[in-house]
Amino acid sequence: MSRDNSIIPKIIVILGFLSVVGIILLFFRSRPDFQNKINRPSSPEKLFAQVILAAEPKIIKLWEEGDRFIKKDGLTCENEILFEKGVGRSYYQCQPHFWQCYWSGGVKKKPALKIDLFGQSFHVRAKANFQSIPQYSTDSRYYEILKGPYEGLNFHYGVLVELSIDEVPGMSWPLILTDTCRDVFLPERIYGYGKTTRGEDFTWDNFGRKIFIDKFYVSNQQVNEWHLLRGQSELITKDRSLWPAPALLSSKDQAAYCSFWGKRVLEAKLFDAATMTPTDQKNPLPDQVARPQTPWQRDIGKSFLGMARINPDYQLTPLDCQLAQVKGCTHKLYTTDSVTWMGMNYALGFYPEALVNYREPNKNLKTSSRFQDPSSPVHELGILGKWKGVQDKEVPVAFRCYEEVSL
Amino acid sequence: MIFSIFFFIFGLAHADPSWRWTNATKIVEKHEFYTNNEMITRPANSWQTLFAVLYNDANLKTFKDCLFFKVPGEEPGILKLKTIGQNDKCESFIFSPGDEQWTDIKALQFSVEGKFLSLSITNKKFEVEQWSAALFNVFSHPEPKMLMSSAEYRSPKVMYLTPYKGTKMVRPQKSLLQDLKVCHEVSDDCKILSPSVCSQCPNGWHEITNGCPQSPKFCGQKECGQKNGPACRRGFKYQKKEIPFSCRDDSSFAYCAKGLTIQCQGNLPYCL
Repeated sequence: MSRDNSIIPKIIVILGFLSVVGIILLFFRSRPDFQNKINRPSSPEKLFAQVILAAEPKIIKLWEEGDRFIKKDGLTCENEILFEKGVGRSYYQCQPHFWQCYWSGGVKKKPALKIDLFGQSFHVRAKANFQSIPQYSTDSRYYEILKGPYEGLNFHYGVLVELSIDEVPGMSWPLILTDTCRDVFLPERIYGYGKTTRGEDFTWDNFGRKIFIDKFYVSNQQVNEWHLLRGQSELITKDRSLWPAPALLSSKDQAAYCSFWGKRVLEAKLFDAATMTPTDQKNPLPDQVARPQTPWQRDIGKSFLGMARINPDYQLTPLDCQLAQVKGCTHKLYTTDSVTWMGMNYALGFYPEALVNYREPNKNLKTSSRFQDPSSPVHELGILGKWKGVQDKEVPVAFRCYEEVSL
Repeated sequence: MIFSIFFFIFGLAHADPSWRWTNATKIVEKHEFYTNNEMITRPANSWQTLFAVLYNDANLKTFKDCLFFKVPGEEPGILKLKTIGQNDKCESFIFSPGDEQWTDIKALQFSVEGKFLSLSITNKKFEVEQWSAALFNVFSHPEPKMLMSSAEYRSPKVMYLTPYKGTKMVRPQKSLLQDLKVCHEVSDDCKILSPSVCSQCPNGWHEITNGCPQSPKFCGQKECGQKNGPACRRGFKYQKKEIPFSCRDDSSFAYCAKGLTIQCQGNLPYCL
């Protein structure tokens, strides 16, 4: 038998080998990123849309984290919003007056948001296209507060603004900014209400319910918005230094305010749920529901409040006042160091707080407050008092709202 | 200046309609058989609804753009757009004249993926026109998690309305659901008879708890747990046992103010 010395089979084998290697190399080659490469749109409308879309993160940051834009020397728009040391930075988040101040040049001289896209720099800015609020100033506004809901748009509180781009003149885009800073979700689990007493351990659950609780008390500035929207501008608080302070309304007006925004005045059992830290947060169906005495320590004896009870000479530290603003602490507003396990502020101390209590209607006031000595027995979770629903200058009563969302 | 005004007017007149869909809130009535980017060839010579786009104009009024296509056969295809009210069905307008129409179409493909919509239209001369829109407002409600706000749960952080040219005062008009109107219909045996529209109640809503995972809800607010009024919802898992669904057998899903007792009227608990 003669061996086949033809070169053709060898060429076929070599070509086959090269083809296989080629296919493998093709598979592992670096591919151009077609998904991320966007060509510059030919029409001005689409260019406008692309730039606004690219600007969205900066717009959201300016709205939600306005405080980050404030430099050490504060703001220079006293006719719009004040910058005070005793007011926490949260006050400037999702704050329409800050939005007005920013675009009026009160934060920096050239407020336009610079967007680099398609090899060009675009400058996005808000337009002062809304009617002035004569009670505040004669200047046109950069926003208008909307009370929802509207068909197809699901919001109760919205801030309507309009954006334009210097490099694409003549076009405007109205959009609505929502208040993502105001409230916080109450996780679905079993909760306890009040203290466990002999023969009574009231537990309940919120499975299947989407409950959101305001992080802070309702402020005078927020109540001003309500007055303006319902046509009672004569009732607004004009002194800007009082705007961050809790609004002091009668229980009837508190309910009307919350209802206006589709909410309710906070319930006592929700207050307990938001402040009594669960023993095991990962288990929503615990066998026993703990009733801690403070949001930070199960046993009050281990906290500064417990120490103050046994030591009349107890000296408050700055950290104590951050956790619970009691008598002897400096007055501060919009602070976040007292935050509870689920994100609500002001569990103990600060202001007396009105609560709705369907279980024990006469226990409708969180009595722990900045008007009580640190040694007072009222500084404890589950201790409630009675409020007649009328404000008293000696003991002002704050409130906050909650909302259950049904979609 | 004059040139730039002319340029914009000309641009608007010839803009493809996908421009106004960037603020779409929902894509509805999408053709049930056509897949994304499939060349539409069947059934030849028939009118088909491709999809409809729900969007809000600058005054927050909701519209629906229906896109119909006459599939090419003996004659070239026709693309037709009709703007209708949000509660109307596209199907009812499939043979009506369109508000805008594009003829002589040789081939058409479309795709709706996530927040991006695109159409590719090929004419008789094999020229291809691409329409595309990023759907800014299309939103699916996330599962709420720790530290999430109600605004993030119910809608996008930014809601885009219809952009415009020139000067215009945006003055939204709205429609409202009246207080006491049912906004979430749930039967006594826990069947959900209509989806919840309670987010459209201007002043919030209240429920009459009936022991179901979702109870019937009504617009407006009403207190619970008080004498001669409906009981409050307490939950149906805190007992950690399977409870019979009957108010008379076990009314622990509800509670009243201390000192009052629960009386059942059907499956609805009241406080006496």
